[in-house]
Amino acid sequence: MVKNPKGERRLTRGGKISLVISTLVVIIGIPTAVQAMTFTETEAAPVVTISLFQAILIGLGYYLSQSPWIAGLSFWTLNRPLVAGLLVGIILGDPGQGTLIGAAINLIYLGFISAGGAIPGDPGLAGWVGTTIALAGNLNYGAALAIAVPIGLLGTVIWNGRMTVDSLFMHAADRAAERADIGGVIRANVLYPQAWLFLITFVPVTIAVYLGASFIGDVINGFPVWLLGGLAIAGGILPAIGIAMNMKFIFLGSAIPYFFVGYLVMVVLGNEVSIMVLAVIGVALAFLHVTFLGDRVHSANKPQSPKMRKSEETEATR
Amino acid sequence: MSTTEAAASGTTANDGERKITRSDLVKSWLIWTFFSHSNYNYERLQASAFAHAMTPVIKRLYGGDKEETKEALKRHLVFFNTAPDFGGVIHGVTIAMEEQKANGEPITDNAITSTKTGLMGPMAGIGDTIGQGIVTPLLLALGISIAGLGTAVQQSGDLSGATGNPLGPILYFILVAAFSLGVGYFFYTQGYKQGRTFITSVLKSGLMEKVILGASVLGNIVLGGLTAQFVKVYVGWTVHAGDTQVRIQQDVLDKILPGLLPLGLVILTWWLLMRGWHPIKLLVIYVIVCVVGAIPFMGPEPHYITDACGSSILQPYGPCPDPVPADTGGE
Repeated sequence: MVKNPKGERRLTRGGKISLVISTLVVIIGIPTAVQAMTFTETEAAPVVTISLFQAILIGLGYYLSQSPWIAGLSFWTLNRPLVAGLLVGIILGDPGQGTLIGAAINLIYLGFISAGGAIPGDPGLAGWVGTTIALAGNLNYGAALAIAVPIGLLGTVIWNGRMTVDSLFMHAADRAAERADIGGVIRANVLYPQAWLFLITFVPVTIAVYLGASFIGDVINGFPVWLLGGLAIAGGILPAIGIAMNMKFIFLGSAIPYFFVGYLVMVVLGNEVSIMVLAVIGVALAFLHVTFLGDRVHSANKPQSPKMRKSEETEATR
Repeated sequence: MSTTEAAASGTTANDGERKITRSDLVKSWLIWTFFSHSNYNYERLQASAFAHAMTPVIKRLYGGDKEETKEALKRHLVFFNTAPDFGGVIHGVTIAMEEQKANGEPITDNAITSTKTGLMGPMAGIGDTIGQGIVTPLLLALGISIAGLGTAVQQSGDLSGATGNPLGPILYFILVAAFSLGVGYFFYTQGYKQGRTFITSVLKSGLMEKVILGASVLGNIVLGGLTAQFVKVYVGWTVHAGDTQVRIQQDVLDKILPGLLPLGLVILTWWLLMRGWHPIKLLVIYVIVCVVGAIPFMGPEPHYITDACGSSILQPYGPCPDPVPADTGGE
């Protein structure tokens, strides 16, 4: 074996830590889920009070939604209100309604895109805390969105705090590299930033949810009906921002007409058809388009990625 | 001490040739998959994650040699940012280059760094267009539909007592995980197998441009469909001209083109974003406009969430019902 025994041991230790944490998630998550599922069969009581244990689970869930422990998939899964809604629902004993609220909140972040580390609101916080407050306060659709939007904006503070402080750990990594200390680089990439992330996600969310969720729910329930209506209107309008943010990168050149094709097909079919049908039509049209354009693709307007664009934005005058 | 040990065992193994094993590659991929955004920071974005992912490779190739290890770690702690799944091809290529370098081929630090920087832009482009631009919104829309957030729920506006189908988020989770992990593994291992020359020749051949163009066509169709399905603007404003009521939405706008308002709104938002408006600024403005649009200055204040019709400019949950029967309105 050409193994450096010292280094090998370090790596497996890192592997063990991640294994232990992942296992903990499963051990805590599944019984909670099963317990919650069995409880809710006949559940109809409107008021949900949040116990400390539930608040801790929600705080932990939000931390996980930013952490690498779910095979690095958190950004695609736990960070999305649709998934967060189900999990909060399970924790609070009403998976069905949690799913529904999560789905409603997720509409705002439908086209959510993270461009070079800049995010327009944090769907994770909106999903986890928004669903919690909506369930605890038994809020309606407009009110659920009302709380999700500012919470999502608040989430950018956490995100920025993370991205800024994490820069410090880069220098720890530099110093470790200078010592040829592989374990040090690994610690700088995992241990320090995750400890910091845990501190700024788990702690505030757990405290806020435990102390404030019912209170905020009550306050929002006290809003006049027309104001809640206005916020529900916002729920219908805000998906436009996410969609437009995505369009910024693909609504270009010879692909532009297809946006209108997709839109009109859906309108004509009365929104009844599954989006997957449209996707299959889209694949067919994409194939035709590229085939017939052939080698002239080069001259067609090239779409750009947000990450490519980010470097350009620093040069461009805003 | 360990230097000689590793060097000695290295020589006996394969005539001095240092080789990456399959398990090194898989280990490296796993580290990258898990920890790509673990230390995401403004200064160098995914730099430390890249170095972390290279650690099994560095151990194998330079294990025990302190100077080489140090140089390799420093080499990979430079600015790096790409798509976590599609971008894996860069790691594969880098691993192949490191392997060649360790075996004495004249590959400079600069060559490795410039390969990384050269590839990360295009791979982020492909990854973001396909991953964030198409697959995620598509699967989310599917999940949301299965979850049951239909027009029925939105119209009643009351979520209490309503239940969604947990299958929606579960299916979304499974599909998006399969996509991300599958693509990630494929690109990582292919990058290593095919090497730099193949990848750069593919990038130069224009194949990737075709893929991106095809993806944008598909993406535009999907976003168009999502606009129609999920962007809702309802005008409650009714103009009274003598005896006839003219409902602005149904009698004017929908006559021009059904769903004109959501389409116009999305295009307007896109135009503003292209002019450099920040999305958060737009979000705040839109919320204010919605709340102002809901002020009931033209009619009675609504008592229940769905009866705002006619008293404000905008209204939630659906178009105003036809005004013909006056007695079936209330409950």
